[in-house]
Amino acid sequence: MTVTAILIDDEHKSLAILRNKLKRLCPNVDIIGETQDAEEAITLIQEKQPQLVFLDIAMPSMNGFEVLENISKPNFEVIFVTAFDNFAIEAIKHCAIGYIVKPIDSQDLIQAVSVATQNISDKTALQKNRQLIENLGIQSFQQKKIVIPCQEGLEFVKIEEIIHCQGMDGYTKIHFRNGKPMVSSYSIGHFHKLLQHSDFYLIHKSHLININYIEKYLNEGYVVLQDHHKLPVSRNKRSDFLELVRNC
Amino acid sequence: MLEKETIEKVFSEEIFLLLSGAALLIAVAVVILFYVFNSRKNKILTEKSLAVNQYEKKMIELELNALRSQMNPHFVHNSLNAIQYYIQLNDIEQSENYLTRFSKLVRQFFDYSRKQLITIEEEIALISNYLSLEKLRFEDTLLYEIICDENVDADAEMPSMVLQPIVENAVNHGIFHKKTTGKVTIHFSQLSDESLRVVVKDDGIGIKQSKKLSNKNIKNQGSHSSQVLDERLKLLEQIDSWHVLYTIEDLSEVENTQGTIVTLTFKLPN
Repeated sequence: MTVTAILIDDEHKSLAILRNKLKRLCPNVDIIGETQDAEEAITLIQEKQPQLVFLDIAMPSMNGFEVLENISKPNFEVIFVTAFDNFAIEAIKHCAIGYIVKPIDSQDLIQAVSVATQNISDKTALQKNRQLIENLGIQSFQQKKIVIPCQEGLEFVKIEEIIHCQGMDGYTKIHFRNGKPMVSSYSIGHFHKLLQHSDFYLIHKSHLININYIEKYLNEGYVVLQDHHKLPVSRNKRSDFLELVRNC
Repeated sequence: MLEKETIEKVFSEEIFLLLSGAALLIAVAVVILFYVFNSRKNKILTEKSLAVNQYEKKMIELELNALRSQMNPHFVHNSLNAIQYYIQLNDIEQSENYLTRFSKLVRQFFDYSRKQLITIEEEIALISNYLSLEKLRFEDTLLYEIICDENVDADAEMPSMVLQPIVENAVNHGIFHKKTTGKVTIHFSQLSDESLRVVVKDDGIGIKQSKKLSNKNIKNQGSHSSQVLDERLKLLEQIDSWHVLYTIEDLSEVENTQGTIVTLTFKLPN
């Protein structure tokens, strides 16, 4: 499937690298425009209505997120391109949006393009992009929402609602404060990375808990959560875990 | 006679009792004193070793912090990205040139972060190597000049890892956001036998404007290196008694032009 794409990066070298790699490795990507200027990017995207946008984050005067924010209907898949930005990457991952890092690795690029190509038919880009913009405006970690792909489409979940994630043979069952639990095809490791924050603790190789919902700690090495689940704490994590909980 | 003997005997018995009582008291007192003294000595010793440990820990932390503030990941990846460009172009000479220059800079970072002091000559070599790599990314939009007054002794030492983060701020927060060509000037001058002045000046957007931008941009990128720098300057003062005066001004407030000026004065320990 051919995908129309626009490339945005303030450095002409980075644009050239990306253009060359795309031509060589991703023949289904049709580059319909590129620009080094963030403000020009906004008009270019609105004019050409691409299906995919490669967007640099650190640009002078206006960063990549602001570009996205200034587009009235960002209904295209985005692959962010960044040299290094932990905070930004975390925010992007929360919304299940694609990204690649500079210098660009060929395999990463192929993978990101193939995921984006598949996503186009789902028409979920607008929701994900809007969620990203919304999350960036929210200071509190618990108030943000994460995007979890599921069978029917995407689930937008407020972090605060998650009581615990349970790993089950490569899948993950997510237990919420309200409503039925959901099963994701991502592993518990994916959620551990996604919820990198002091509020979440992997007490056991298959239990990631939101520490705000601990009701009790039992001396035999169990925690009881507000939804009455009694979960084991690995022996080697007990002292570290207790210290963390005491400091809360 | 007999009576006298008995009296003497009673008397000496009394003395004996008294003396042995006193001896016992003294012995007990000595034991207690010894015990108190010993425990106090131990306490002082552990406190001392704790202080030494904490000092050492602090030093290692700072060393790491210094290294981390210099090895700015943005800079590392942007440099490698530029090298990737020359590789794609099949420009072997430029690729190798930048690769070796980058490797040299990494080596300098590792070496100097371990030292407290480096010579002015070494500092200038580091800064110019660093800026030549930044120029790889900024190309014609970045100019730089390093001026060292004649009376400055290039073999004299100065604290390491102080200047480079400041120059990096000038590039990333001053020049980066400027639409036209920007220039960074670093000027070394000798104020007196004991004090060296270094002025880092750029004609970028100015610190006021740059702060506005980074406040707008969710995460403040500049705060990390300035925080590390503040800590480092404080520690230098504590241990080596190097006195470092440090001021940042927006040029619009000083001479009605655009840019930022950072003035550092290093005073030798007495």
